[in-house]
Amino acid sequence: MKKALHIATANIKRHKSASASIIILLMIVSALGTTGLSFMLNLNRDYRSSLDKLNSLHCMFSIPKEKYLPSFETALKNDTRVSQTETSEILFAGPAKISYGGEFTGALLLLNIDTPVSISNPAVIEMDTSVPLRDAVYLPTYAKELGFQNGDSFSFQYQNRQMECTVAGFFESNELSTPNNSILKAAVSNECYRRLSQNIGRHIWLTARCYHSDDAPGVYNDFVSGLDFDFSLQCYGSAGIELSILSDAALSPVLITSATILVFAVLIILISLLVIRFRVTNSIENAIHDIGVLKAAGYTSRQIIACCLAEYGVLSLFASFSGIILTIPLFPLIRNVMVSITGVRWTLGINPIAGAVTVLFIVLFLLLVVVRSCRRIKKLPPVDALRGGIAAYNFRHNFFPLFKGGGTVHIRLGLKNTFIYGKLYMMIGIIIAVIMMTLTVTFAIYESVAVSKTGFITMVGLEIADAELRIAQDTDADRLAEEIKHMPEVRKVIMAETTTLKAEGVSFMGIISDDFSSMETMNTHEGRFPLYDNEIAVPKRAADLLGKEIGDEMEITSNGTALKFIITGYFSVASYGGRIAAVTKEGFTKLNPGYKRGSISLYLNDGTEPEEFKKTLANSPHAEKIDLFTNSKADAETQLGTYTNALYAIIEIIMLISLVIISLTLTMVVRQIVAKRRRELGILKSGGFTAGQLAGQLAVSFLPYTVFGILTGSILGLLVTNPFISLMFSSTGVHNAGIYANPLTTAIIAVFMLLFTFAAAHLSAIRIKHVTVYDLLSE
Amino acid sequence: MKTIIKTKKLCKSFSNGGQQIHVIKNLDLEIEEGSFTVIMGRSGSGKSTLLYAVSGMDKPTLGEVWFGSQDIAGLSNDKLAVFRRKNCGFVFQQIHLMDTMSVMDNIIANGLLLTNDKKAIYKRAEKLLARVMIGRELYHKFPGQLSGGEAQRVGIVRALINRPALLFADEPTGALNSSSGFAVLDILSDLHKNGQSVVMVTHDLKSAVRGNRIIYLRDGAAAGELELPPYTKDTENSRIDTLQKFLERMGW
Repeated sequence: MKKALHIATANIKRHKSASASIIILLMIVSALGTTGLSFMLNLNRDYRSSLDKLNSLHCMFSIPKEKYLPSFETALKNDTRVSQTETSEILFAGPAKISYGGEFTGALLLLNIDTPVSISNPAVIEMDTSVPLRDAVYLPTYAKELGFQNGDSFSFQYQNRQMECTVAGFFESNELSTPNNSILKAAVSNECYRRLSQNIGRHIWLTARCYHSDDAPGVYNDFVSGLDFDFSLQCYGSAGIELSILSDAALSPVLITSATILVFAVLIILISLLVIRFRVTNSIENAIHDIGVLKAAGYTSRQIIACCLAEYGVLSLFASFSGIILTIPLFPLIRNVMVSITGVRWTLGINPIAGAVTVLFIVLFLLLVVVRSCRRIKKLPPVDALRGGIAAYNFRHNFFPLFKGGGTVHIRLGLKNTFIYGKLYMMIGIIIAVIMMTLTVTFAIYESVAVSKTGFITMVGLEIADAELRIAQDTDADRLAEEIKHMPEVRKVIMAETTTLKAEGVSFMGIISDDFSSMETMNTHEGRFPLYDNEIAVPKRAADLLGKEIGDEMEITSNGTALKFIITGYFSVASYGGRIAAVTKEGFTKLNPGYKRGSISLYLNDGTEPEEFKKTLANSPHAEKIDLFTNSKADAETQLGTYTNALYAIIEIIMLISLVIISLTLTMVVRQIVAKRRRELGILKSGGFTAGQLAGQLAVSFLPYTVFGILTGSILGLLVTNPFISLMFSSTGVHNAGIYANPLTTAIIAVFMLLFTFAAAHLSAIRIKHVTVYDLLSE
Repeated sequence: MKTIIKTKKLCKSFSNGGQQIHVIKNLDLEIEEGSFTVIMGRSGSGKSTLLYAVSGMDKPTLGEVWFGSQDIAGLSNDKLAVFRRKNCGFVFQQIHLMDTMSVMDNIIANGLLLTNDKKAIYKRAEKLLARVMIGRELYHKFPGQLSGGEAQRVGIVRALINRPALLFADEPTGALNSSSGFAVLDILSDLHKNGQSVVMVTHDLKSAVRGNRIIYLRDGAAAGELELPPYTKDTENSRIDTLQKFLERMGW
């Protein structure tokens, strides 16, 4: 063993450049693997620990002061699962149009900074004392990511009044700091609080923490079932939320981000492993003469294989540990990105199990490749090894004889090599195919996030119309919908209302519609949407949670009435933790006999902007029948901003990494081939071939495999992009991401790849220009 | 006789572990057209290094290498490639045929560098192969399927395909058995008799006597020269005696 290790380290020192390139690739694989796995393993644990750090709430209720009773807190206190409760007075503006990284319609909770609380206290970490106290508002640190700075104006519109405040500082918060939950928590100075309270209603903010954070949904459900309040977000009269919904909002962007990292990690790892396999196999083939020397000296095949295993074992251990060390300075950066996109003060760290699994995987993989590559050593007599091994080419075929047929000698020599080195070049073709597929998937995600935001909305699975009208009380909604439908700017009118209900005792968001078939982005991936009053559709994740499947009955409770509904289908959605149920208008009316439609969702014709239509509507006879006009797409874009920001930041980095790896891989592979054919190139050069001619021949010989790789990769990319992304995002509840590769973009990438590989081959081969024939032949 | 190659203060050094090793030192040498020059010397005396430096296969460290009226010492690698294809043919000890190409393709690949007339090149290759006794049955064989002697004869044809002004041979019989070696030497003698200029490096007496000028290298410098009359089979033994005496004087 000592002898094997000695030879192994001598070999590593001798082949410094070959060893260095394997180490670099293995380090990337190790860093990506450790990061991705640590993310997956630590996410929930780190989130809970972040909550404990700030003593964050597990449940919260905002109830109008005049309706609040002290018995509410007592009821919570008496729950044995609850460890701490607290009440404080706040201002509640809902629904309000809030300018917060774009405009969104939601509820604004304003706490009094001068009345500290112990649960989720907005502890200010940055304060600007120059801001007049009557205007001072303190925002969550997440606001800084949206561009807010001290002294900036923070405005919102509530009950047709424009409210203005000035940012005087920022506080740390783990919840309600992004628009994701449609509720924003901010704090104001006592003076500002008094000023705003003249126009905004006072609420009691009841918060609770549980001994075990997993009990939060149960505590919440039990509490709200005993009250006569509707905490659904649509009502805005009161608000309630619990940890599982909050964590869903916080974790979803992280899950989507980590899923994106995982998509690329898998692809980059695949490319790296292919290249490493190629490299190791070639290194062993190139060392076949040395193996012959060892065999001739009396080393057994077992001892020689042990030398190879020791060499690559040392390399893989060094590289994988170095990769893990590389992730140490990377993690704070990733943590900062996570903080910036979620508003949560993450305590992300490297998981030792993730590190160990990665090291084990890398070492085992490499040793497996080495064992496979060494198989022929066993059967190889020393004399054959000394002669450089047995020729792998076929003596029966003289491909493209030079004395007949068309084309110049260079093209024919290039084509000749295409067949002679077919097995070797095919490996490059496969690597190029995987690279091409990676680029196709990357650009598909990039286009759906950066170019067309609706692509991302489709993936999240929400039905987002162009605009939503909240109808005034005592208005016949169906009649108004029919009238608006006939307006020239309107393409379609649908009903898509949200409410809260309970499915098998678990809090769900309900989507009510009279015609689910008219939905444009919500789709079932199995079964169908409900048609009758006793049918319901849910996401697969929700059905799994409740142990149900299509055809099973599910008990739905709303307004104190419980009825059984049959599950007719699963739809794909990546929000609200998947706890969403689609029921027909008739079905929901059975639960709530007094239910009246309160909104109209509309789709506008191409070229009609929602804001323009809002003006048209304001000047029409319908104006008085409408309480609120919401630009749904803009709202959705603001609310989904955290997701898109996360993806955008990650995609940019990933694209950069992909390009670096692609360049590195291609150059490395081509250089490896040039090194392998060094003697041959020397012979041709001695006969008078110039470096440029030889480089051209090499590039031509690659061409058929490059074209094969690019075509295969493009076709695979076009075919697998959606299923692959859907699979990678399935943990977030997405079943059909609806993200497809654009054929035109794919064609452009294909042309770029073709030129790039041709240039890489040419440039790598042209390096022999500065090497003399003597050098080429004597090495 | 016209000088075909002339070196002026030719130097070639290699660095080895940070140390400069001067293999050729200020060598002035003239090689005449139509001559059969043999370079001899002990191992490490710089024979092969000199051959590669004057043939444009390697660049000298210092000095000039004149080929006719052109100094090739300062040419770029690509210009040297063009120079070699037009003026030089090489026969190597290790033969260096392309293992992946047939006999005919090995020859024609070089021939097609100077012309696109495939038929003409094929005919010339056929003629040369016949001259070195390579039958048609071997045309489409691969080098791995040939004997050492056959492969070296193919190597000579490849070297001659572009009608080089100078044929360089580096220990052409070094890897061959004696009968194959003789056959190769006979071909070289025959070529010389027909006017081909040849420069050969060897440490084998029986090979060296084929030349008409013997240059003995010692520590990178020409230590002595021996002129011999044109080679004929019946003078071989007396040539060997003369050469042996010369080599003894040189300290061989």
